[in-house]
Amino acid sequence: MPRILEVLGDLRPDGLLLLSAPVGSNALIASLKERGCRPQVNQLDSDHWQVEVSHKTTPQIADYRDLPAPEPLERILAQVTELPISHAFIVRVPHMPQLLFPVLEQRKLQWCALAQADGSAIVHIRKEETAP
Amino acid sequence: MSSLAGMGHLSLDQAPPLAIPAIFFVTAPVAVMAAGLLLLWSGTFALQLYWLPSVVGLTHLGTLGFLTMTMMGALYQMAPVVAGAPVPFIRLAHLVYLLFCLGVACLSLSLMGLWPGLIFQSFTLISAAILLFLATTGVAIVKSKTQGETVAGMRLALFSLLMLVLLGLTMAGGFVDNSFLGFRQFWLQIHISTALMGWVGGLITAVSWQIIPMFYLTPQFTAVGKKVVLGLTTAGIILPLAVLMASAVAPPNTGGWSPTMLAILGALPAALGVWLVHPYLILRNLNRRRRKRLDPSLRFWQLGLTLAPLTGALAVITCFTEDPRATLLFGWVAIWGWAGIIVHGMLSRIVPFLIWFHRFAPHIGRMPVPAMRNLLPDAWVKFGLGLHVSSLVLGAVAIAMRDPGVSRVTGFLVFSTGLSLLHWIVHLLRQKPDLEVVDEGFSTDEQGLGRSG
Repeated sequence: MPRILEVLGDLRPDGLLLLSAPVGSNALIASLKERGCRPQVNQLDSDHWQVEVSHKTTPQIADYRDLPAPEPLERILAQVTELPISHAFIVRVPHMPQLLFPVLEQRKLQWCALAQADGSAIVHIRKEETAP
Repeated sequence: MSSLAGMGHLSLDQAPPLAIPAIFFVTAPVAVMAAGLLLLWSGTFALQLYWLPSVVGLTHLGTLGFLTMTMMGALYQMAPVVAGAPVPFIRLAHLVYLLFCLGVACLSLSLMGLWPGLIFQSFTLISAAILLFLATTGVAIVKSKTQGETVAGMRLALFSLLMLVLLGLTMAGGFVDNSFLGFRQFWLQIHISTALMGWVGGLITAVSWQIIPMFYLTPQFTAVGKKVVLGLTTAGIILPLAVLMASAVAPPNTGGWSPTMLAILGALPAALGVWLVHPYLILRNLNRRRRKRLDPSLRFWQLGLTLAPLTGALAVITCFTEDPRATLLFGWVAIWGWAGIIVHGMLSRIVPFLIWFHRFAPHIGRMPVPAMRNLLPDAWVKFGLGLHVSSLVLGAVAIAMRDPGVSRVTGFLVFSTGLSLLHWIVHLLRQKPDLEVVDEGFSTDEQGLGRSG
């Protein structure tokens, strides 16, 4: 728990923390809620739980997992064009979008991505002031 | 525990310039058209006895000119994206392309009797092209740190391609001075199984694990299923080659088992993996796709995979009959049916994607950009499928009946299939965004996204 709190403290207002655990812990969830976080619990397997912890200021996560390639790419690029400076866009996609990243870098957008156990990925894209 | 806003970047891969896969893709239909013209010109002669030069020419227009041409273009594109292996000296792809085109053209002209005496030059050019391809793309994929069945399958396909070159060169010596090392049928058997199941089958299976879930939103394939197909295919490629090596040091006929029969038995696992287990797994997954919207390229996969067990059955039948039509029918269904239809379908999905990605994706949000599926009308793709299937069926009839008229109509349909394919590939390559309406201060890089960082 101290380590989780430490990482939470470092998390940006628009960040997202993913916790993997062998058991679901009600105490942990309650504690996170007490601290003003939004924990979302997903049971991935009988012994694999994932908790998505976000701040109240973290944007809603868009879900494009039901779109075939390259529709997630099309929609993400359309979304990030409209993104205000210092704002983030978080999206779930069916696969790690390797071809998206060079385009994001070309647009000087900051991104990071995390592969999920089911092959899908979560991508966090942020527009800084240096972006065109 | 992972924090999305704080984690490190994944390594960035560099897509190759659009021109590199594009030159391979736009040339492949030309080989199909040449094959159609050969059938139109020679009639049943090109569909009669498998050892006739015109039949060998027709076969290699299909395997080298269409399938290998497309597969090399695809590997240049996929190596960095799928295997995490940017191809070194990428501009050498133009030399590979030039040598390969010249080689296939010389081989076809020579075998058709239009320009005799080019056979040695053609083998030299083709081998040089493939060895150069393997030295760049092959080495990049072999050295890739990316794990998984897709990359392992790509490596198996590339190993098979290397073996094919070595077998082809040895067999070419037999063609030139009519002196085969051992039984001709034995070498031919290993050449065919390595080509169809190792090179073509290995790459089709490897790529399918990656693109079927991505393009058609199917569930992920289980690791067990992928490993079974890869294991069977690997065994079926290695065992016949082991028989070949053993036959060089042991008497060719021991215990009543001919080396050819041993090579056939050795190839059996690959036939099971590529023509039975793989189509079963893919078709089952396609039935479970989350989005039921019918994509024309999906029809190619379904049809090609449905033909896979028939290809396997015909391969078995050729082992038990002396009728040369069985061998021809097997080759026709394997090359123009199973593999040809899948490759045709993949082109209809990959080429629009590459054009869209390189030319339009950078402008999304800054100007009106067409959706990828609007770049190529579905009706054109369906028309191409109709031509392809008609030529396949009619070709089978021509082989069975040995009818010159039916053979020529088949030739016309094969030519039309190639023309249809060429037409829409050129149509796609000519599509460009209207840059006058793009916001100022923003530029595109045709040479490959990611290069400008």
